[in-house]
Amino acid sequence: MKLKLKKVGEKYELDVKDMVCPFPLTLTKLALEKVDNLEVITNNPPSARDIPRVLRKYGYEVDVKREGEVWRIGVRR
Amino acid sequence: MHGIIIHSGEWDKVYHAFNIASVYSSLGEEVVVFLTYWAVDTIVNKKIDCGDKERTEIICREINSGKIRRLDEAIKIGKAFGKLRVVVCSATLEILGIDENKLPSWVDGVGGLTEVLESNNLVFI
Repeated sequence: MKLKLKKVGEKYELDVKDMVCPFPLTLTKLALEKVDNLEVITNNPPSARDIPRVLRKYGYEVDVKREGEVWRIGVRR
Repeated sequence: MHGIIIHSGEWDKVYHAFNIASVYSSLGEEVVVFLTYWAVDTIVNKKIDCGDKERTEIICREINSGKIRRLDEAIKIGKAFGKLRVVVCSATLEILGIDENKLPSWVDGVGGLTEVLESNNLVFI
């Protein structure tokens, strides 16, 4: 499964824009199998709400920034 | 362990059952999907792309736009975490006259209901 994963400085960006549930979450988790410092980019409001909630429950540090219609979800182990 | 028995061959039911399984798998939870009767017919007889009825056009459009993935891709995402196992009902193969060699590569094995009945949570679709 090819991910839209790009290294930007110290972190990796995962672009899941225009995807709907459950793929933003499952692809985020797939990316976290490969990297520890991730920024997920989504324009799907339910994913912007659910991904942080689920990842925090599983012990990840998460911060969310909104830029207009796009959310950037920072995730660290 | 979670268990999902898919009996229905309706594309959308099969698709969403595998999405549920994929999310469980992505969260590190063991899940077995047991395919029986018409679900086996659907995955073997090439009806897995976008369904085969009146909703096909909508689903195909959204798959082509990248909003959702094809069923086999969705299954492979779920299997990438190593927690999702797919088992096909042995009796179904016999009753429907399906050759085991025609099963998709993402099927892990052929077996009976005991493969899934010991699950803590069991869903029948």
